[in-house]
Amino acid sequence: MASISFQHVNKTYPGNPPVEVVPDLNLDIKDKEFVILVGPSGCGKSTTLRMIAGLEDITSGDLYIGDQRVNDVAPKDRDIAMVFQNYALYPHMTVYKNIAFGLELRKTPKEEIDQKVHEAAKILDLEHLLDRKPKALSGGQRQRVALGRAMVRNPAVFLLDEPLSNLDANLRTAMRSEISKLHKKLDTTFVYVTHDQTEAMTMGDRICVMKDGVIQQFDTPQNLYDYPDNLFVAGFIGSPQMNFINVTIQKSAAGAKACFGRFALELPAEKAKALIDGGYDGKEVIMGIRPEDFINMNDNPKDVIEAEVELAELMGSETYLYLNCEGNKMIVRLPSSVRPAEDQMFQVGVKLNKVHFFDKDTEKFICH
Amino acid sequence: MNQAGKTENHFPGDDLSLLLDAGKTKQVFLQEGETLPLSDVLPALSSSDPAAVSLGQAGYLFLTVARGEISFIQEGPADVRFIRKECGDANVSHTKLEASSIPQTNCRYVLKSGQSFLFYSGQAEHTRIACQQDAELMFVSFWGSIADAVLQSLPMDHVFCPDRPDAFFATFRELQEADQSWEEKSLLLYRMLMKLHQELTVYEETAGYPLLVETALRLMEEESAYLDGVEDVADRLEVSAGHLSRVFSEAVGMPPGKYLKKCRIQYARKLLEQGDIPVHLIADMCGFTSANYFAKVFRAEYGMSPSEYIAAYSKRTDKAVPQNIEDRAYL
Repeated sequence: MASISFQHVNKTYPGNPPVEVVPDLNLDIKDKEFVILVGPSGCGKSTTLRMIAGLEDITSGDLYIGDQRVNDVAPKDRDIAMVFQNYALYPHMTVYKNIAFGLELRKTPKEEIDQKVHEAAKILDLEHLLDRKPKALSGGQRQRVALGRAMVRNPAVFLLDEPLSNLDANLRTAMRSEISKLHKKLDTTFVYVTHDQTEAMTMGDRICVMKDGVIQQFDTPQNLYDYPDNLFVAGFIGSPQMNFINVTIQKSAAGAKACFGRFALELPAEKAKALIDGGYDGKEVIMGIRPEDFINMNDNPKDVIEAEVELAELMGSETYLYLNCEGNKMIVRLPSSVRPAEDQMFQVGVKLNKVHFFDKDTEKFICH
Repeated sequence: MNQAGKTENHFPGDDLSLLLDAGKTKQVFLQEGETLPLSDVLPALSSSDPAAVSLGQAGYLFLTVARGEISFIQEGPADVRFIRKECGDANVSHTKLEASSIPQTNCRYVLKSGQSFLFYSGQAEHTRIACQQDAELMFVSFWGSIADAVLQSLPMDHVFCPDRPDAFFATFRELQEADQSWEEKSLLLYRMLMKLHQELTVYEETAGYPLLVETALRLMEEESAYLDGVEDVADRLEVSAGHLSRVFSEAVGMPPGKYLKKCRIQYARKLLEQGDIPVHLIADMCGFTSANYFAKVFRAEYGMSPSEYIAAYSKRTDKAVPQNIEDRAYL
């Protein structure tokens, strides 16, 4: 079994002053799950991955892989395999030898090595490249060799540290699906680190969003998208980013309105109740609206705002409008048929049933 | 004892007592082509009170080149180690391993006018200075628990340039004046110590080398086995190999190809010390194209073959606990 469990794990680097990169990590990854650790640079995701690998000591707390506490277990004894951002291929060895080397170090019999290497090469479409050296390979091919080297070990846990970040955009998209397929085929626990939220959303069973060494939310991609726990997750997940507007909540006959500038938007009953019951009448909160939660005027929306068009980006299948609404910068996604002129005023409907509200001080969600 | 109940130069039971006789200065002039073993300079920089000294004879040595250019050359046992123990004021001892069983190594640092170098006096035995251009050198020694507390966590053995070398020169010249009281001298030493700490703390953050060189050093130290030569390093850093070689050689005093080879061979040595990996696999793990080539390079660096090294190392009685070497080959 290859579940992974962090229990009150702290990672602090000594120094003057000491640097606490992970203060108190509690994280449970299920056996065979594909979990993504995502967050901005310096959030602790790579450190967390390296702690699983044993490449970083744990300052305090406990780390379990399966039922075994592994704090003091050497990396080579942990039944894990790792795929690195820079592939870590030996330039002087052929593809065959690069894949085989870990097994050779472990004194695996030659026939078994040969069988495993060819098996992995077949799955990864590397059979015709086994005699080549890494410099004769493309980035995607090198990454597949790195995957192959990990696969032949038949580990309980695969760790992948930003394996696609050195590839161009098209190749990244292709390799994403290859890695997802590999996970299903191997039926093993995968822990994958990336800073790219699109990668995270498309690949993981669950995503762990991290910031400053602290887990912000650990949930399925859809839940993170639809029900972000706080402002950071709301802004991090989703591209283009969610729009945030400071609004004042005002009680109304029908429930409550969200007011900013000259606009006062009557909120759906459920959201109004949550805000009023939460004591936000007369208070400023943050309203979040995803770019796709706006309505073209042709569809006769009920709740309308007006803004100045700063830029219209024609993406082919849709239009991204960069608007300035009472001093609030917003990005709106609309069908490609909508092509307003820049520096003109533009009206657009808002799907108020889809907006999110966050407490201004704690930044935690109030209601979705 | 004087009338205030103080022993000369000492406040009893106070850390300050160790500061008050806590350092000396020496000015040295060298001509081009001249060589100066550091052991010749040491007596003038050493404390006469063994109880006040915690590290070697003269504690920490701080060298600044006021003018000219020198090479600071460290040769000798590769594995001289300094083991720290918390034990009252005697808070450092050092262990030196038997020279006959230990591979030799040498490091050369080039220091130009205004540049400085901080190191342990315990290394003085194997250190000499070669003068490349007529030079004026300023040595300051620090010892005692205050010096230890301030300096022992700072980077040693790196060339750095103080923000205001003239400030150091001025304090140095003041320290050289003969008719100072020990309080005045201690104050100046303390001021210099604090300035040094300030400079080296910033240095630690800014690394002292140009960013390109720092990045190249880190890349080579961490990934020497996976780099396909200087071209590959340059490629990763998105510069031309020619530019990298120029900037690197100027800053570090050796070409990047040589440094890369050094990183590989030092890593190989650590792997040999693990004791359980065949030599031909170590050659592979360190990026050498063959076991024969690896053995040749190893012998050139350490004066013995890898197998001879393993045999010599296994006889040592004070081996360090094997490090948990990060090796991606196992992962």
